[in-house]
Amino acid sequence: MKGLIYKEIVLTKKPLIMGLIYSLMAAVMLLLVRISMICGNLANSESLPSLQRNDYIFHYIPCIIFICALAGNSGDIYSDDKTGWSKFISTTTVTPQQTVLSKMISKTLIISAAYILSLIYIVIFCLSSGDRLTADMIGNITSIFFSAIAVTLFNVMFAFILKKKQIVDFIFSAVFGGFGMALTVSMLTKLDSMENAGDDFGPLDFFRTEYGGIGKYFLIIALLLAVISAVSCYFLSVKFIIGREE
Amino acid sequence: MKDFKNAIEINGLTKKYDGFTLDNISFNVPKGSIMGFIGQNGAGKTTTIKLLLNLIKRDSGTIKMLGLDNIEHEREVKGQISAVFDELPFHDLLNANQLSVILSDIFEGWDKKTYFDYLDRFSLPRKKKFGEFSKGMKMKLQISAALSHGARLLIMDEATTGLDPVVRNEILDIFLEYLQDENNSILLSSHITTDLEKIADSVTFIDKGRILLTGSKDEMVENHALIKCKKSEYMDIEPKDIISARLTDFGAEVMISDRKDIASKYSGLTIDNTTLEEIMLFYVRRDKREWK
Repeated sequence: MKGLIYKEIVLTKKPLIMGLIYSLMAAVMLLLVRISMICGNLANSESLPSLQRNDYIFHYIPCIIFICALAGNSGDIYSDDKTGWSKFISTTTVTPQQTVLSKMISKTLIISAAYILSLIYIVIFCLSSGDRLTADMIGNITSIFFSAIAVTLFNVMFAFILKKKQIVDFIFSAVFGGFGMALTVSMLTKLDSMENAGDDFGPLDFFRTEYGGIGKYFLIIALLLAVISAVSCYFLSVKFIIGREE
Repeated sequence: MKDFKNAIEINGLTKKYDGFTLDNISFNVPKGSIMGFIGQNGAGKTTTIKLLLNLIKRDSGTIKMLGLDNIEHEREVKGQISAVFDELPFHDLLNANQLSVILSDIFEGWDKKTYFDYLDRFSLPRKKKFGEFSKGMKMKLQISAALSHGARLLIMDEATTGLDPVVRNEILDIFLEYLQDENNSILLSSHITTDLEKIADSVTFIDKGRILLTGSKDEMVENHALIKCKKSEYMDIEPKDIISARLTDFGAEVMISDRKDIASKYSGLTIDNTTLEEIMLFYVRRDKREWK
């Protein structure tokens, strides 16, 4: 199975880079929105608030890394049938169980790498900015980690079951778009709450208990979703590989 | 693995689809030989190969490969065979070095040295992505991989289709080398009958899901013949002796299947040698009997 995992990881490289580019573009767009809104505030304000929290955009970077991993993981799942790999692998001693497991393991490995990168980033960010590293920050990233695993595994499962690229693309886009929407809402909520929350408010704080405690529930839901995805992906994907051509 | 006479034994194999039936086919591929599997598009070649590889479920019949039932001993059988398809099944982003790492884990008998020797022999680059390979290079790569894990049986589905004659010849030479080991066998499905005339020991001809001919290639070509005659002479040939006939402005070309008998029966006619391609052509049109 090592060889299969290696294949998945090698193939994920290119879409991962593409995902990174798209995510960086999204980050630039968010930054521009933020700057334009601050400029609006500046025009209407008698005092001139400094751009002291403009670094909040960097709060999004862990999320961006996750989305990159997610994008990277979704880009290659159709390639097996397109290239004839599925047919080829069926002529070898590799079992459907090994095929599905290797996909699940490789994709989880990639998302785990993104998770570790994000944690490292948060620690460095907090150390450099003097912010306090909070359990909320780590909890937030962890919840996205489980969500990313869940979404990716569901994606693998649908790819095996439906065999329709368009449908899987649609599902992926919806979920991927959902993440983007969540981030945007997070940012807008932050902007709306700025007056009440003060300058210390950051986008990650959206998940803090004092602002609704969504983070905790999000973490639990994401964890459950990841477990359900893993179990259903394994059993359903194997079933559909075995019964693919009658 | 127990001793066996035939690398492949197919008996009464049937598979029904909506609009197509692979109908009770039987043939053997003797160990140590190369069999050409011919037939027009949609004749049932790929369905047969899929059944051999257990990629689809058969309705009835039995298949033995290397002396073992292909379903009951699937794992054992698949460890000893290689399948080559018309399209490269490996992703465009991979290169030959990476493929070796992947396949070494998939095939128990993976021989890295043999694989890289074949790459060198075919002048295939090790770090170039497959997406940048030509069709010929892709096929050479696929064959290099297929021959590098000690497979006893090669199953090739239209593997030489679309390749230029130089590359095809190069590949055919490799097949002949592979057959130097008398334990190795090849089933080669192809439209290109000239290739099979060069290297095949036996030929199986399938049409509309049924086996029309199977056996030694040399005997098949020797027994069949083409009578070129005037229309009046053609009218004198008994219908039962005719596979089918191509009518031209000047006369007729008639395919027959029993050259010796026909030669003595119609001593005045010119009987020419024929080719696998012509045999295929005349058999496919046997329902019409006469065609232009």
